[in-house]
Amino acid sequence: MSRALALLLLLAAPAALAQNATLSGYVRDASSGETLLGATVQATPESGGTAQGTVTNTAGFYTLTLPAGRYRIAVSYIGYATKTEVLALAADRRYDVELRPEDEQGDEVEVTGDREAEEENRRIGVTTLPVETIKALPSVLEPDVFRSLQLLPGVKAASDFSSGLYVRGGGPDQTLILLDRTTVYNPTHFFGLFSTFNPDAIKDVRLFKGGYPAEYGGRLGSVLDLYNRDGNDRHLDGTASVGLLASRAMIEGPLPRAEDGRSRGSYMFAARRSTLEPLLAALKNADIDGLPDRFYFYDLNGKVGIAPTANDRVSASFYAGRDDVVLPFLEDATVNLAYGNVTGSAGWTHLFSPRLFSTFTLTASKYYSRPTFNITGTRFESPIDIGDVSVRGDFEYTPSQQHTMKAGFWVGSLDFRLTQRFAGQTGFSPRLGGQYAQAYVQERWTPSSRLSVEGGVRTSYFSDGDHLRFEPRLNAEFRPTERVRVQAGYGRFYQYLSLVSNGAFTAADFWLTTADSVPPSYGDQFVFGVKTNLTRRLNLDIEAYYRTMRDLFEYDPYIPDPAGLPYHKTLRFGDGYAYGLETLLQGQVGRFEGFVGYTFAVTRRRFPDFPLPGQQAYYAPKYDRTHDGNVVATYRLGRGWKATTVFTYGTGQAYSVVTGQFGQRHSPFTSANGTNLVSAFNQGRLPAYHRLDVGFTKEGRFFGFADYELQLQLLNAYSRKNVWFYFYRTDPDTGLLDRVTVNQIPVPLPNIALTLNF
Amino acid sequence: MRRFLPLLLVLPLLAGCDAEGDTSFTSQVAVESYQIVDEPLAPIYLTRTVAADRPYVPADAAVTDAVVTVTLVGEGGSPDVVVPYRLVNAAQGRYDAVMGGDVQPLRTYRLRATVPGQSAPVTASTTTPGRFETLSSTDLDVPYAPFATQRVASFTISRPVFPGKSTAFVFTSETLLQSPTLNDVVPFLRSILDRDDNGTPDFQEATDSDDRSPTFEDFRLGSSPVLNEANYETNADGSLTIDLPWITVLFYGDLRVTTNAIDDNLYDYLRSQAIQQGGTGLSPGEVPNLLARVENGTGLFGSLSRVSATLTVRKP
Repeated sequence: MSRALALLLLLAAPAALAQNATLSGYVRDASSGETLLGATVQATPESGGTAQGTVTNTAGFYTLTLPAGRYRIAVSYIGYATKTEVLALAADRRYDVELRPEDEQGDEVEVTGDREAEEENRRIGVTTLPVETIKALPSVLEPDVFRSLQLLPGVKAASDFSSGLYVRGGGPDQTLILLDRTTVYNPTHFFGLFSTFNPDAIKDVRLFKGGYPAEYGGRLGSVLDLYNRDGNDRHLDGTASVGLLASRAMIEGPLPRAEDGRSRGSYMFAARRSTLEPLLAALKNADIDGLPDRFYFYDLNGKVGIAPTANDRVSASFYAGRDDVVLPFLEDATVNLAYGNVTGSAGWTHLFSPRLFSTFTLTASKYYSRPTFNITGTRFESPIDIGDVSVRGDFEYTPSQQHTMKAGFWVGSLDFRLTQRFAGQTGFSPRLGGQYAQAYVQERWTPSSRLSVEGGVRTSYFSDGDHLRFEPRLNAEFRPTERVRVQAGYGRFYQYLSLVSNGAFTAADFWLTTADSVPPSYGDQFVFGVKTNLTRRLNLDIEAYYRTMRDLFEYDPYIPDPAGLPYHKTLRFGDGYAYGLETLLQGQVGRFEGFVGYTFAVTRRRFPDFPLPGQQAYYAPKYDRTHDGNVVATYRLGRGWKATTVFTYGTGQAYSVVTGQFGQRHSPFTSANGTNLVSAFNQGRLPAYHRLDVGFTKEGRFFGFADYELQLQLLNAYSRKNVWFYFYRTDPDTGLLDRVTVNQIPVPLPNIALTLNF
Repeated sequence: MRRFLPLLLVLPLLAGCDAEGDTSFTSQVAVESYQIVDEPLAPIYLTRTVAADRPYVPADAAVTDAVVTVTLVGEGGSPDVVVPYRLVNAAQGRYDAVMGGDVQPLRTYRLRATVPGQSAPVTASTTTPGRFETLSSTDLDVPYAPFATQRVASFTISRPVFPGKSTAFVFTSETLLQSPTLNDVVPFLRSILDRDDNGTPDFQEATDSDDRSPTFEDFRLGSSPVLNEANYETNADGSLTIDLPWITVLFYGDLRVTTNAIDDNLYDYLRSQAIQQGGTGLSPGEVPNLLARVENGTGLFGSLSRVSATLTVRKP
């Protein structure tokens, strides 16, 4: 593979250098100076001929290498007015572009946006989600990136209480989550209810659902790539939002300008905190039992960037978040859950030449959790600490318009510590981790405007166990007509980590790593897609996938006390597969905007001696749903009013059907009668899930000094009692087994928020 | 392309019937037996599993017409002693050994129960743990002070229990009070049993007021989770010093505390029973089955060895 890439480069480069000139630059928002990621830049020869295009990378930079001549350059981005200009290209030329948001032209103007221009969003397996959409969707407590992603085809939620991303049959650990190129390990608040990413601070959300390119790696399934806002480098700007149970604020602005008026850079700081204390105090005064003694969460985001030269930008960003709850129950018993993430990254983007773009990043990520249970003085503790420090470099080289090469490395050190203590005695306390190194090279070959092929290989190494693996990736796109793309992709993926989670409360989640006798998990993915522009503003995407999951390793749930066991004996190893078909109809019709998504999906896993000793049968994990559908629609009512509705329907998740019982009456360990259950493990299906959320937004001026946005939302509008799970208990008098239903959000849940933009 | 779109959209609906798996129920013979080293051969209880929509009434579920034997397996796997069992309590499905003799340590016992109407006999075998003894003990008379640094019941026991392998332990604590009242239970248990926040504590009243509320009898004998030998300190002479966790102390007064070393069958049974309604890595609603080492049936044919001591916990 790499030989072929080198050959391609050698063939392409001399011709390119001899005849071509390069147009390159940044595409920015004209009002804030924020770079726009995935903006389309298209060059059409004035003399006639085929247009050539590209998209901006994750730094908002593009490179177009073209034969010398005059071109009509069109730069477009969804939600922004397209900018068109005729340029004469005789030699390499820097061409930075600023696009003006269309909503600056007044709220009565229909939001436009040429969906044909969404090049990045149409790549195989890729979905981007505008932050404005995330903010507009009805939400529990706070607008949420993960909750919004869960509405997309191929992405599932475990429950109303879990924001974990279950993408194409993978669990939350199979999605690599990057914030400013830094891995985030447990990005949840409220023990999983919603994600840590504050939409005020986020600029771009890009989900690679599968078949992702060689420039990413480390997870079997998917990648969520998020970027913090750089900050407004034009003027001081900010928002403040007051909600029922949480509030947030963000401020951004330019650094002092250079003497020549040139921007030196920008900053952004955002904060969010729960404001539950008044509610808890009122409930306590009303003698409501079962309330926590302490309960809060917060998160802070910040980014500072400077541009010492036109070809350099240096930035530093951080994130810090924490959840803390102390919940007493009965007498002499408390639960204390405190957990949080701290991440930091420092990045340097440098243009070696108009054709060679580079990014160097130093990342640090820390996750900690301190779950403690105290029952009659016996203390159960399982502190968890994760540290990840890394350096990565990424290079993008565009020798000609037919070839774009990317290469990079990522090296770091990972430290996982889990200590389980029972009554002061340290039990299971593995210290896992090691050094990791990854490198990749990939080439995008575009021989014609109708065909593009992207291939690459990634190699990864993990020191604990001395595992070295190679991961080939290949995808291709053919455009039989201007409006239709046929895509196919294949990739092999390795994963050196595994998350132990019950999918309900994330504070006790912990990670495992490969080691001696614990090989990395791996899987192959096959993706096929057809993407069409039905009209200029209406897209229909269809993607099918099949994937395998091998050497899956997870904590063996049957191990009661792993103290003293060799690490690999505490795990179980299995495999699985998933396949499905996703359709997404997305666009705008008059004042309506939104999407309709449908997913057919099957996921199966198996482990030895499970679900019965001596067996190894495939079963559907809890989060498996066969059919899933979502309708998300926004209607502009006029006079600043906007209505948003989300309807979700999914067939039932898997659950264990208890088919029988038998008693335990003579145990020397307990005087209580016990019941043993006979279970058809995950062979049943819960009732169908459906829910309607509605929201209204009013925008306007707030006493002349700020723009305001008032959101009135109602979740679960028709009070659907969706089943979360069942548990069982036997009536001691009658001997009858009682199946108790635990519902998800069972009642309509209102949410009100006022946001000021100043 | 557009001609095929409806087909593409309908295909998954045709293919993706959300079929449930096999949820049929077949009744099995369930064994319950705990063979204790240096004690007489323990009873074998045989019942049948009942469907989830039927009440579990022990007398109705009891298997009363089985032919039961327990074989002490000799060197090389040949039978050493075959002990027949006979039905002694039809309401419980209890079978007792017809011959005397204590359970021997580090030996294998094989159960065989032939049940009319079932072609294959129910079989299981257990290898008993070795003997162990308490070499010394401390803190057997202590005030109830769980949040202080006060230790409770520390024992040094002889090792190894199972030569060549690590041993799993379960600690039990049983009140020796004949008629305890709410004043005799620690605050944690009191808050469970005392359903009436304002009234005078009354176990029977509490039991009658809610047929699902826990009763005093549920807590007379309690146990710790299964704990590995490696959790504790191994002394220079090879002995093991173990501390009773405060969580097993639910009553004031005299308690019989027992250290139980369990065999593989009990280990599998207890660890799987503990996660039937929730365990590490299991999602809510996932109910794994018991790890029952019984062929042609289910349940437990297990063994243990144990030592006991009396602990006095003074009310603060």
